[in-house]
Amino acid sequence: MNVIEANNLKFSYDGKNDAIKGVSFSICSGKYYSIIGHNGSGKSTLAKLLIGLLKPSKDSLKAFGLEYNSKNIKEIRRKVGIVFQNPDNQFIGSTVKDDIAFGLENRCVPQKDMDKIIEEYSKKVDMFDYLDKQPEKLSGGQKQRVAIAGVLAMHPEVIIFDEATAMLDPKGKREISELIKKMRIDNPNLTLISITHDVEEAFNSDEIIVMNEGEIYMSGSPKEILSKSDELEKIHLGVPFLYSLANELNKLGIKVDDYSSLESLVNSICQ
Amino acid sequence: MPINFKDVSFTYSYKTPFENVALNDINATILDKSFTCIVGKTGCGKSTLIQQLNGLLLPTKGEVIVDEFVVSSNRKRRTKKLANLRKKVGIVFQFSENQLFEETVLDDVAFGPTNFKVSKEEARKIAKECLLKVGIKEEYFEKSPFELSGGEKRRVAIAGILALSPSIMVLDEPTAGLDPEGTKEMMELLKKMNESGTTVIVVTHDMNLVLTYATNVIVMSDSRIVKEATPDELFLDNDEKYSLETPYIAKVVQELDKKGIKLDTKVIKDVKSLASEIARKRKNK
Amino acid sequence: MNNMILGRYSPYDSFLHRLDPRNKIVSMILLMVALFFQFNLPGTSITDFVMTFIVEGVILFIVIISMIVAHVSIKQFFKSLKAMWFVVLLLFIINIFIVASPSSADWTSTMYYYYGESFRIQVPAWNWDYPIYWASIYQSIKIVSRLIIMISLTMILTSTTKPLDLTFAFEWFMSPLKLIKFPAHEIAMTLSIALRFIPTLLDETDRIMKAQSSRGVDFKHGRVSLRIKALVALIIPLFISAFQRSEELADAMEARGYNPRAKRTHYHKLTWSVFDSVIILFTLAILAGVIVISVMNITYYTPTFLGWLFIALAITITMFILLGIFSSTRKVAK
Repeated sequence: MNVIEANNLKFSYDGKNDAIKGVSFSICSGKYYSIIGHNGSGKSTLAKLLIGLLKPSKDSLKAFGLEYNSKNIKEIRRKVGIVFQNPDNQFIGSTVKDDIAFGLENRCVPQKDMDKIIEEYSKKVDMFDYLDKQPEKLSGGQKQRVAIAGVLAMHPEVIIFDEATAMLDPKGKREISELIKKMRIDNPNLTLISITHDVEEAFNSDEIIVMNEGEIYMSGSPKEILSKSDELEKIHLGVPFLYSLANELNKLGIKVDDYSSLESLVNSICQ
Repeated sequence: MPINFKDVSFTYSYKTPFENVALNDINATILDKSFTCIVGKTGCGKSTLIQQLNGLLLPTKGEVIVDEFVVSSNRKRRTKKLANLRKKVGIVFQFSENQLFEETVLDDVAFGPTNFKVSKEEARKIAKECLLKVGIKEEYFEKSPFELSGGEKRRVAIAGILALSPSIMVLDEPTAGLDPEGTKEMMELLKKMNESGTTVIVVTHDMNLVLTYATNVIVMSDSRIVKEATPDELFLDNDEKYSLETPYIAKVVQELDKKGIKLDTKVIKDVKSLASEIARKRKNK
Repeated sequence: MNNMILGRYSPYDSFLHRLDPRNKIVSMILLMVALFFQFNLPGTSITDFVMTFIVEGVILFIVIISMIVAHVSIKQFFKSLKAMWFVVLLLFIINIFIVASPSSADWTSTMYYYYGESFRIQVPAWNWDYPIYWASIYQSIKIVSRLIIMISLTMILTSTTKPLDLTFAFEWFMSPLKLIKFPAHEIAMTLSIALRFIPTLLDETDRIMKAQSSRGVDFKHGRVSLRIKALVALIIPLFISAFQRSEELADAMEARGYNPRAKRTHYHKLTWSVFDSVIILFTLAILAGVIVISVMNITYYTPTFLGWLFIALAITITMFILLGIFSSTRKVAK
């Protein structure tokens, strides 16, 4: 089932230059998508369109069959959640539990139910011991986990990660990617859309959409994209490490066929 | 001139109930003209350490010696005009694009030298050279810095420090938030600076960059220096003792090691040298 | 950062910390009002000053008990008042000379003769001869002591109440104004976000200052023109980043379904306990007592029914406060 459908989606900030130049794609329920592209390729604009912070033109974008307009936006935001890049600027409450409660308050969840919900979701992201902590006492990774708890608590069907790990240290990045894995096991129907410029991270997903200059440059499964890695280099994206090593080895006359994982690469070197 | 840390300790909010030890008895030497990376977990004291280098923070105990300058909280030992040290040691902070404020890119870069009594014309001349060095094209010079992209802004900020013609450049997380292309450009820029004789000190989390670019590595953990080494010693000969990320190259070397292929780790710097080392090994067999 | 900021919230869990913030605000205001009554008791030996100092003494006693209960160190309090001492001293001297001279305060002028002169300041070189009355000195002590008591009352409020709880209390007080479309909720939300971002922006300020210092900016010394330039180099980047933050914050709030005009529930419920009722009755009783004495010109104090009630209440409250001291006062993690 398609949860989000874009049909010749265009967007322009100033009315002259299009930031998004007519893209079409569909997002299937329960899959994990990565949208990659270098800075300025239009991927963040796309994220803002998907959550309804920017207004798409008529009939070009639909979520759950609903048109993006002021009437439907409340319903769409109920089903689509987003985690932004900057851990500080999306922490609204003064403590962890206040921040998780913020979304619940907006949804008019009765006050007596909130503590239970906060407990449940803070445990899911492993922040239960920090409920009374203020944001300045938390690391970037912890703040992002709180943001994820806040989104999860609203039972969305789609979660967008808008470069959610770009400002984190390696430990924070690892924590978030492990959490994403866990979320997918907990709820197989959850659709994830990760917007990133980290190519290695994107290879954990089911489907990759490569953006360049406001257009979809290519899309496909990680395996398909990996085989076209030289294309990634052309549009100034990082090339997966394993591919670039295999490429260098090939240049030196060592044939490496299988570079889909570290083990397989090492095995083919040893042959 | 090497940089010497002698028994340096630093405590935030010293002698208050909010005391917070950030550096604990640091003894280290950073070699002249080296490309030194300081690595460690968030909160291990890396950022505090580099702020001792130009006297923004004074060590609570011990002293830092940079050339003829002595940074110490002891008034008798401390060099009188510590502000002049800032011309020698340029520090580029994390998210340095946030420090721009002038109307044009050129003026912003020229701002630093004018603080050190360089005439306006002279400062603008220096600024032009520095902007070209960091790869900002001439057509941007009269633009507002706020029209530039994130990566460009950061390069302008670096030019702003470069304009002081420091002999030591210190950068805190210069690649944070940049895309792979921007990261590569940034590191190549630093490498070029280093090759032209500047000591470069970089605080970073990205071990892949450390392996490729650094000549020396300082590993910090819990306010202390736990290891001073060259990158190949640290990543290729060692296990994950310091809970650092293992660079991709090191993973390959370790896997091959398990299979009985021993590579000469001294020559491995990047993907290219790794590939040719593998090729050499195979030929010898 | 200065860690001895006057009235900074101290993370304990004492009796006072647990009181309803609305109660604390109202009680504080009631006690402050009680401080400002004039006493004119003709034909008695109890003068305005004596009576004022009795009232101040009672409130000071409450303040000291509260400080002990709330784990506010009295020594620390006077230390943090250090910056205030100069102002207090200046106020005191100005008062002696100007405010409380017989000519400027006709209605009490009889008092000046009643108390008489204390001494004269004479500077022969300037041909200066100025009388200082005891009344002026009393008057100045009165004003200055009122000021200190008011500061300490406010400090007790802020150091036992989380800033956020204060904004909730203000929102509650302003809620009747919602009927006339006064944006009470929006103001409270703005305040709480501002409070949330104070530490973040302080960090940012620190970082930008260090970055500009590395470019040779001297924030502490130098000519005025250079220091203005230094300030510009700090303020512009700070503003730009604050604007960027606010934009991202607005996006995040909107994405999470926030709509200022829509109905929303509240996670924080202010809870009014029995203790709150007792405390507010106690402060009301003090104010009532002061009003009765001040307005009715009660000449001699003979405990009437009201008086007995007052005494009984005072005793109960003292008991409760003592209970509060001995009951849980664990420190909450910083």
